[in-house]
Parts: sequence; C-alpha cells; structure tokens
Amino acid sequence: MSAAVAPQFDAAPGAADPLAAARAVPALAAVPDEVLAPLLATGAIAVLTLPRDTIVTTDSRYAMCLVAHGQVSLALFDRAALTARLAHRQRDAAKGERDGTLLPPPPLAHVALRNLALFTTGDAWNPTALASDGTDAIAAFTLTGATVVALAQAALTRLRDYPGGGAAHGDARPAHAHAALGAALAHTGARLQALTGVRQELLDFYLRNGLSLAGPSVRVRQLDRCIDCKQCEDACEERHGARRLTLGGFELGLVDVVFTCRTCTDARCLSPCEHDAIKRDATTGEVKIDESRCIGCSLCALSCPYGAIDMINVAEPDMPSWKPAFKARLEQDGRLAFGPGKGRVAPARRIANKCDHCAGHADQACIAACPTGALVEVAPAALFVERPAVVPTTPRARKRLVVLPTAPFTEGLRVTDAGLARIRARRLSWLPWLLGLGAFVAVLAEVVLRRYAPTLSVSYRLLRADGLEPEIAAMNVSYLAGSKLALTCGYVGTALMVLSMAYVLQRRTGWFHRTASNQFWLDVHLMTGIVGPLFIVLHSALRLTTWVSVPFWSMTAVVLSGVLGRYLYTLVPSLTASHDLAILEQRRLVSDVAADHPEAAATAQLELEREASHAERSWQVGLALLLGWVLLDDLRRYWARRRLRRALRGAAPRAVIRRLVRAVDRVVFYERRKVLAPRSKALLKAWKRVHIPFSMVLLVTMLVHIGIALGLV
Amino acid sequence: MITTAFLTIAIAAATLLTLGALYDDRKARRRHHLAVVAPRIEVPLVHSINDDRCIGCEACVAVCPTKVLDLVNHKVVVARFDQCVQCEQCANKCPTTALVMHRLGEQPSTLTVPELDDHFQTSVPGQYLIGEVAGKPLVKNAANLGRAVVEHIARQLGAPSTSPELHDVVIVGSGPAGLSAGLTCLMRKLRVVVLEKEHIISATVSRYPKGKHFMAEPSNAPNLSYLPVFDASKEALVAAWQQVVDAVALPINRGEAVESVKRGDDGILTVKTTVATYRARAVILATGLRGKPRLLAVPGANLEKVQSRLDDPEEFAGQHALVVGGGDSALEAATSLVDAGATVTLSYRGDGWSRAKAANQKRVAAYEAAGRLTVLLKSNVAEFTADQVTIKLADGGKRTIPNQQAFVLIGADTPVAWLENLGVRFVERPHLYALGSTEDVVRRVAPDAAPCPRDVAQAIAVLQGRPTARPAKPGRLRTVVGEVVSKVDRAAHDVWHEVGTAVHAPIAPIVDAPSGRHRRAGSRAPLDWNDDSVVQAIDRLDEWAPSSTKVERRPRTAREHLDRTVPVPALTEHSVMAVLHTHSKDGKDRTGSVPRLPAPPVAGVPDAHARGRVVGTDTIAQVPNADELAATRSLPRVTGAPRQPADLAAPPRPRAPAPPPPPRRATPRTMAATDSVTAVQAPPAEFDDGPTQLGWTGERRS
Repeated sequence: MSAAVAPQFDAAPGAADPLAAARAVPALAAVPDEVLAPLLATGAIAVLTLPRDTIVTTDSRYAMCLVAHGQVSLALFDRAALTARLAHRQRDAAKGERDGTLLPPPPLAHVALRNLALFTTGDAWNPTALASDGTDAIAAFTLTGATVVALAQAALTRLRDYPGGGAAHGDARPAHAHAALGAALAHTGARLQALTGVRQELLDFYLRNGLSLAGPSVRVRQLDRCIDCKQCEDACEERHGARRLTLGGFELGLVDVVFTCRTCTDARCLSPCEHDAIKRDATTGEVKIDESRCIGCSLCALSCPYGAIDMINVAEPDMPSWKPAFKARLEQDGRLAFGPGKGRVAPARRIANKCDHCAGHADQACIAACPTGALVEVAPAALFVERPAVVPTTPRARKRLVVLPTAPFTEGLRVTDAGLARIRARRLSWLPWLLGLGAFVAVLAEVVLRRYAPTLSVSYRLLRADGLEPEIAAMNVSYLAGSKLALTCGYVGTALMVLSMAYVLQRRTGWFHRTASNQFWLDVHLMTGIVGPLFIVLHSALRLTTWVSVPFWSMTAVVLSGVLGRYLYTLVPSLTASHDLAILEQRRLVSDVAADHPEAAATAQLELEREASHAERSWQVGLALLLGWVLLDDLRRYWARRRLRRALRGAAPRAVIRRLVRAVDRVVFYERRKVLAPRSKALLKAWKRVHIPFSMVLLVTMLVHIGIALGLV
Repeated sequence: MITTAFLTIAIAAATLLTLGALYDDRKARRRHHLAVVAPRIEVPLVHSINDDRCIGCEACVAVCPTKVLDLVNHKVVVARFDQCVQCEQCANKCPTTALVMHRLGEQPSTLTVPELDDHFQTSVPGQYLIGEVAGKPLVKNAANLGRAVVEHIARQLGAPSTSPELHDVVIVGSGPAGLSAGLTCLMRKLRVVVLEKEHIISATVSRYPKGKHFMAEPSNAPNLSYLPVFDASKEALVAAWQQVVDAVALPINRGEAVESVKRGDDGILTVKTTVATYRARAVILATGLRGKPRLLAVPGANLEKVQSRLDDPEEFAGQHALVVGGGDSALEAATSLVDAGATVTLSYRGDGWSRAKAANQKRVAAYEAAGRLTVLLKSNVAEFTADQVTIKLADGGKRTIPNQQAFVLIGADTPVAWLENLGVRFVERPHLYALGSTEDVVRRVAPDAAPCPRDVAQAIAVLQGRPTARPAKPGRLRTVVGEVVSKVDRAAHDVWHEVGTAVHAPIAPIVDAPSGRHRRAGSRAPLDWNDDSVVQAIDRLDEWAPSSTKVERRPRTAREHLDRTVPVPALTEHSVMAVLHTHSKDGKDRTGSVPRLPAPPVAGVPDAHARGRVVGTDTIAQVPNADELAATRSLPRVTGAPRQPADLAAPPRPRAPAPPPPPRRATPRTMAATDSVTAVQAPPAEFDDGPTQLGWTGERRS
C-alpha cells in the first residue's frame, strides 16, 4: 500500500458495471470495449466483487487474477482451519443468514498461519499456483471489500494484440495489453522476491494486525524512548474515567502498536450493535460510543480484533472492571438513565469504552502526558512502505528494492514530536537547557577568568568601575567559597534543585499539565537536576573538608542515581523487544552476502555461532563479577574482530568484509545484551531507592547548611 | 573527613539498594501469586430459569445475539452457554421474570409473589388469586385454577346462598381464569357474578395482535375446566368463549372496575366497584397482569364510550372525542386523534404538561395554536352522558360539550399496588419457587375431573348437563381437517424443537485461530479443564457458593451449574476469556500481543526461513518474459522449490516430518540461536526434491 493512498471508509463498489470494474486494472485500461465486452460476456474475463474476509476461489481455467479495487492477501493456512472456515461460510450462505451469532468471525489475516503477500490495485497473481498438497494450504482472501478480475487463458491470448494501459506503477508504457499484464506480474514477483526474512515478518505483522485496514493514523509507542511510566494510561483514565488505551499491544521490534482504536476502515465493531450505540462520524471517521444507548452487551468489544474496546462495570463495585470515576462521569451527563423515552429500557450493568481520540478536547490526553515523546500517532502506510514507486527491471536493482524498510523496527522510529497527533503544547526542550547551561557556562567562565586571567573578569571590570587602581583591583579579584559570587552560586543551585524536586508534584497535580506538556517538565527536571548541582560544585569551590560535604555527596548520589535511572529506563524496554528482530536482520545481511561470497559468509556464520554461545556463558558468572566479565569480554571482542577480519581477507571485497564484520559484531552485541537483560533488570528497580531517600537527606542537610550560614541556627 | 562522609553515604546507598531489592522481589512474588494463583476474575453471570413461570414466548431466544438459548418443549433452556456474552437482554425481555441472570455463586434475585396457600387463597380468608397474576401464566393453567378454586370454595361454603343480595362468589376479571371459575360456579349451583372493567370479555386476549394464533399451552397439561381451550386464532377463541358464556347465561357485569374488597367480621366480603357494591362469601381475583387503569369516579364513567386506552385513532374520525390526562399517552392520543380527523378536547386537572416529553408538549402547543385542538387546563370532568360531557373549568364554571368518545388516560395502578390495597400480602420467594402443576391442584379437590372437550358445542352440552354429542363424524370435513392440521402442526412443532436441540448440541467446536488474542474475539476452542488457572478459578468459584442453599434444584457449585446447563459441548476458552476474564495486573487479556517471532536462518542456507514458508509465493508470480507469455498455451499448476543460488544449494534433506502444529500460545519472546534449527518450519515434503523448478510454461528447467 503506497503512502499516498488515503483510507476510504466506504465498501467496495458493486459489480454493477463489470466493464468499468475491469477497466480499473491499469493493464486493461486502454483495451477497446469491443474486445473486452465479448470476453466478459463469455466469461473469459470474470469480475468478482467480494466482501471482506472471503477466500478468492476461481475456476481452474483462470490463469491470472488482478486486483481492481481493495486489498487481497495471500496467506498460508492450516488446512483444517481453512476447511472449517469455508464450511462455515457455505452453511451461512445456504441459510441466507449468519449462523447463530451476531459476532463476526475473526479476520482471516488473524487465522492465517502466515500472511505472505499483499495485493492492491493493479497487482497480479497466478491462482493455479496456489494449491499445495502439504499440511498447510495457500489461499488468497480479501482483506477489505475487493474487486478481483480473473483472466482465462483465452483472454490472455486475445489481448495479445491490443494496446494496454500503463504498466502497473509508473514504468515505461508497454505497447500491448499482454505486455502490461506481464509487467504487472513482474512487479508483483519482484516485490515478493524482496520479501524475505525480516520483511516477511513485517508484512505478516502489517496484515495480521489489521494495519493495512487502519484509518489515517495508529498510535504507536516507541520502545526505545518509553520509560514505562504509564502516565499516558493514567492521563487517559483521569480524563475519561476509565482508560482507553493499554500499552503492550502488538509489538514488533521497537514499535508497539498499543491496544486502542485505530478507526479501521472496515470497523467490525459497528455491525453487531443492534442498539445504534456505536457509530462512525461521517466527517472525521471517528468511531464513537453513545453511552446513553449502550446496553453493555459487549458484542463490539468481542468483535474488535485489536482489543480497543473495554467493557466497564458501572453496577458492581466488587468486580474487577468497576470504575467509579467512569460511572460518575456518565451519571453526571445523565448517560446511565433508562426507561421509556430513554436510550435503553433496562439498566446497563456494563458500558463499552473506547478511544475517540479525545474528541471535544484540545489535545489527546495520552500523548500530551508522555514525558519522553515516546507515544506518537503515525500513518501505518508510511511505516510499512510495501510498494515501490518504480518497477525495477534488473536483478541488481531488484535487490536494492525498497520494500518494507526494517529500520523503524530495529533502530527505532525516531519521531521526536507527537507525529500526527493533536497535541497542544509543542516541545520546547532546548529552552530550559539553553537557559540553565548558558548561565552555568557564564559563571564558570567568570570563575576561571578570576583564577587565571583576573584582568579579563567581570569582577575586575566592576572594581575598576568603582574607581580602584588596576593593580589593586587585580589583587582584589578572587574566588573563595564564601565570596559573593560563590554564595550566589549556592542560592541559584539550591533554587534549581528545589525546582527539580517540584517534579514530584507534577504527576499529582493538574497544574503542570495545564501549563506545558510533560515532556517539557521532564526536561526541566533533568536540566535543574544537572545544572543545580553544577552550581553547587562552583559554590563549594571543591573545599569539602567539613561536614558540608555530607549534602554534597548526597547530591552526588542523587544525581548519579538519576542519570543511571534515566539510562536504564531508555535501555530496558528495548532490551526486551527489539533484539530478536535486529539479530534476524543482521543475520539476513550475512545470508545476503552468501549469494556472491559463500566462503566469507560461511566463515562469518561460524564466528556468529561461536560468539552467540560465548554470550550464553555469562550466565555462569556471578552478579558481582558480571561487570568485570563484560569489560573483559569487550576487550576479547576487539581481538576476535581482528581475527575475523584477517580470516576473511581475500575471500571478498573490502567493503563486503567491513559489512560482514559489522553484522557479526552487532549480532554478538545484541546476543549479549539479551542475555544480560534479565540480570540488569534488578538494577532498574533499585535506582529509585537511592534517588528518593538521598533527595530527602539532601534537602534536610541543605536547609541546615543554609540555616547555619545565615546564622539562623 | 571526605573519606568518612563518602564511605557513610556509600554504605547507606548499598544498604538501601539491598533492602529495596529484597522488598521488590517480595512484591513481585506477591503480585505473581495474585495474578496466577488467585486471579481476580469477573464472575460470570449465569441464567436461572424458573420453568414454572416460563411461558415459552421465545422473547429471550429471539433477542439473544449469540443464540445461547433454545426452546425445548415450550420451555427455554440454556443450550450454548459458551457463546453467552453476558448482555442480559434475555432477562430484560422476559415478561414473567422466569429467566434472570445472576453472578455465579450468588443467589438469583428473589421473586415477589402473592402469599397463597395450597388452594390459592390469599392472606385474606375467602379471597382467592388465580391466573397470571398469581404467578401461574398460560391459558390452560388459568382455566384449571379457575375450576380448582371454585371446587374448593364449594366444599368450604357447603350450601349455596339463598339471599338474593349475598353472592356466593364474586369473580374479578373475565379472562380464561375468571370465565372458568364462573362456569364452575354455575356447575356447582353457586350464586356468582363476574365483574369486568372493560366492555368486552377477556380483554387481554381480545387485544392480542389481529389474527394471532393462540396456542393452548402448556401443551402437556390437560384442560380439566369447563372452558374449552384449543389452538385457534384469538378471534375464534374469544368468540367460542362468548358463545359458551351466552349459552349458560353466566352473569358478567361489564364496565365495572373493582375499587376495594373488605372482609367484615362475619366473614362476608364486600366488593365495591365503580358502579355498585356486592356482598360475597368468596372473591376470586383473576385480573391478569395488565394492571388496572385509573378511572374517574364521576357519573357515567362506566359508559361504553369511556375507555382507558386508544387502539386505533382512525376509528374515531369525525367524532367528538374527549381525552383526559396530562401524560405522554394522553397527549399522544389527543394529537393522533386530531390527525385522524376527530374533534378533540384535551382536559387535564394540572396547569401544565410537566409530566410529558418535550416533543409531545411542543406538538400539543402547535396543534392548540393552530386551533385544531381545544385544551382545558385545570379542568375536571363532572359527568358523562350518552352524547355529552360536562367539564368543570378552572374558573369554577361548567361547560357541556358534545361527546361521542372519551379516553381517560390518567395512568394505571400496577397489579401489585392494587392487590396490596385489597389486603393481599406479597412475599419474597427464591427465584426457582414453583407452584406445581395445575392438574395436581385440580385433582386435589376434584379427583374425577374430566378434560373439557375442545369442541364448543360439546363443552356447552357438558355445562348444560346434556349428554355430549358423539364425536365428529367423518363427513364433517372441516372439523376433521382442522383436527388434522392442528395435530400435524403440534407434532411438527415438537419435532422441530427435538430436532433442533439434537442438531445443535453436537456441533463440534471450531478452532479458528492459532494464537490466543483472537480467541477472545469469537473462536470456539474447548476450554482446557486441565489448565491450572482454569481449575483454580473454578475451584474458587466453588468456594464462594454458600454451603446451605434453600432452593432445591439450585446447583451448589460452579461446576455443577456448568454441568447442569449443558446439553452444551463444553465451556470454551472463548467464554472463559470473555466471561471469567482473567485479570492480569492491568486487567487486560494480552495473550495475543506477544509477537510471533521469526525463526532465524540456519547457517549455510541463504534464507531457510523464507525457504520453508514463503516457498509458495516464489512460484506464484514467476516473472514471464513477453515471449513466454505470448507462447503460453496453458498455465499449469506450479509446484517446485524456489530458485536457489547454485553454489550454496543445500544438499537434499531427508524427508521432513509434517511440520509441528503452530503453537497454541504465542511463542516466547526470546529465541536463542541454538533453537533456530528446530524453530524453522520444515518445508512441505513436496518442495524438497532439489533445486529444480517449473517455469511459467511448465517446462522443467534446471
């Protein structure tokens, strides 16, 4: 699906006009009517208009299928599951109604063992190649409502001499329809050939989790930025009474598609509701629940394959899904009323709750609350660029084909703002840093100048302005712990650190949210927490001979633990998520090299296996020695790298060797981190136990220090 | 000094770290315990069905969105509890509270039923309560009870009353129960009068939708009364009853609503109606469940033109109509009568429409402004006469206007409120409380009661003490055909339900999805009873069930309940995920969220992963050149291994066993490299015969 395709909320156009439907295929666009019409009449060309989740079954005489509209997926199925599904369909068709239940069956993309390909307008495949006799079956099915044009052999022969439209996607214009069809096949084939390894995973993920059907944007958590503070969920719950998103949704590498509404184009949740309680807003595409009509039957929640709808209990406080704030909000709006003339006849025990992207609010609560900018809205089509703009013709070009770039998943999305989301306060992270660090650098410069070049310092200028002689003024320039500037540094540092402590209030009071985004406040916290102590260092002039050093070292402990905590937070989510994918990607690189330089690849493979098993050995090291082991291992790796480079010399060009060595290095790095991850998690929990108590110690000793200095105590 | 301070701080930090880690570990273990060992679960709502009250109306079956319920032998049963989505619409739709839903392990909500003794006598001696209002719906039950109570009364009273002003029995209501009681009184030579507030008999049945086929239910009970009951359209049935009543001259006073029933010290009951006062030795209340519309206590209020409901406004086109009341129904009636073309006056004793919906208020205001409707606020009806009505106005004056129809729509008293006024005590009973078969009730007082003939003429003959006519002759074609049709219909009805149950029950669960997440969204794999968390969840449910239960037939444990409600295959994971809804820390089922991780490639093979899985796609869109396409005669079925780089082709593998079934749960997140060989799905055997390939034209190329 190309990035330009805007999501459409309507169903496939009917097959009222097969001719027009066939014309929607680019390869057939320019074939004259008098050729197409008889072919359609005799059935040599068949136009199938299929609803979503339908297996595309064609007669054996049709040699080629083209997608005229909609999305078709090709997937591997468990044969038994597929048979059961088809039987179900037939039973429904025979009865003329859906069997028994109003619940739609799960999407076929979900049922499939593996989705293999995505076909959109213009794509072609050979349906006779789909049959397979193994335990698993390959079948094409519609993801959305779709129009498929099937061509029999006779039609292919007949079309030989007629002009085609363009080739599928911007290639040079072939002269004949059959050539255009050939080009369409070539294009599909090229894309499919590029779909190996990680890209296969991406495609499967893309289709399985319904992202190809999603609306304009999906909410995504960047695992490399997330610090797992859950402020997004809390902010949502605060605004709506019960939270409407859950982290830890569909994860692939560093991307977590959280459990929340993505305004699917097919909106399975709408059809089972018999109470008109869930509706799509025609203008915005937003799917909303009318709480005054919802009777709590949970059909919408059960039919959403993506876990976006929750049922919230509003009647029984002893049930786990009971949310008093949610009930209070609905009651206040009079949405729980029942009886004649009201939305429902009987009281509802539960009410459905789902994200409406904070309709009616200026911003999206969850995204505004994220302190690190990890939660963003992105266009799924931009994330999964599945279709290149130009058909590559040479094998070499095909290899370089941009199909489903893996970087967003293995290296991170790198979206720094909120993406497509509505967010009120833009991030101004540079401002506090600029102010704080600027002030510190200025003061530091003054201190250094006073020490080493007194005549250039501001103090000298001031003394001179007071009318002192140059020599006397120069002698009077000094920087001592008790001097005026040092005291000022002390006050500024103290003020900054107190401001830093105010961050504790940020999660508990609404005032901070109203003034600026959480991202800003976290930046203020980090800046004040670093610049404040730096000022104190200046203030102390490094004279730590008295008990005053107690607050100083406390401060050091607080700062170091804070830095450690921030570092660990950025590390841990990625430790748990992305490495398998990254390892796979690097291994694929090694495999790619194998085509041209088998010997080099084999050597690298061998090294890979050896290093991977070496990483396993870190388990045998005790926690105390682990740090030393890691350091030694880093040194050892340096030699191992050199050894590998030497072993590869001559087996491949220099550039290839560099790539191989780098790939092996990355795999080893990830393997080791993966092994170490569970053990480093203990640290993650621990840092706060230093950070918070020492903040308290710092505060108390600091107050005592100030009190004594001012002669109050 | 620096060293001391630094050491102190360092030691303090280390201590805090250690203590913190211990604490975290403890907390984590505790959380694990809560989540796994003792999960907090949303206890499922289960159905409680009181067969005694179920009238087989199928309202619950029709409303259920997932077809959980079935009707078997005219009673609802839970056929597929695994499909239940807990919406409670069945309970909300049930007209007789025969079906309620309650949390497993708790008692269902109690029934509020009138306190009755074995003979359906209320807490007021001499006052009886029968029919739907007594909690015994269905027409044959009503008829049987009518006979049973009168037989009992006849025994109690002994000789019939001789005084003309003292009735033996006053019957309130002329439905099947009241008529049957009345006919039995005639048979027992008791002085009886039937009071009916409407101007027709059996108002409830008469007002069923036109042409509704009326089933003589319960089908398994004999009709032991004197009132013929048979399957027919409601018009035919009411006509037959009218015929019977006319034939034996059962005294029915129409248009009399009962205001109160008082029991004197002498044991005589005084029945005060809107028209007269009766003294009776026994009173039978057989009013049905429709409630008692409030009436005006003014002269002429019992005239036939004064009605408590408006069925079809079109009937009254061109007439002078008065509507009394200020609620929604009054306003709607008034406007719809205006629309139908009647001349309408709307009278209300209040000074505004505060009780009505805004839309109705607006409509009335608009009609009044347009002069189509006369509105008299703060007015009271003083008197109805045959073609006029007198209304007391707000200023104290009176206005008499022509009037052919009057609709008094000033609300209704619920049967409960009305009965409580009459001294009937109500008690709470367990939901499965049953009154038993009405056949038994009749047999207790009249052991030799014979079933009533279905034929009206014969029923009348029985009542008149004439010998019953012989059974229908073969020549009476219509009757025979009617009998046959009726029998076939009934048989088909029964067979349909038998077959339906038999067919539905053994439907094999359909396994739709290989991984867990979508399982929640409607797939039907059977629940794994051996799964520890399920067993524990169910066991915990068992613990909550109270040890002594008062209601027999009520299952005492969760397992018992689940077993009982099963003509079902088994509880499936779908229902347990949706219903028991195991709560992890954040209360979200995330079984499907763990990504299905790729298998890393095997050393030496370019992309074994792709080779094993994607093998089909490679052949699907072979790139043909134009010549090939032009030369194509037929497109054969393509089976073959994908192209492999010749120099790195894997040696032919031994025939791989069938690939293992996909894991039921999501695969673990981490996958060590050493696992990769086993993790790779073996390719299907047919793809494994070396690096040959079939091209677009079907020729074998190497």
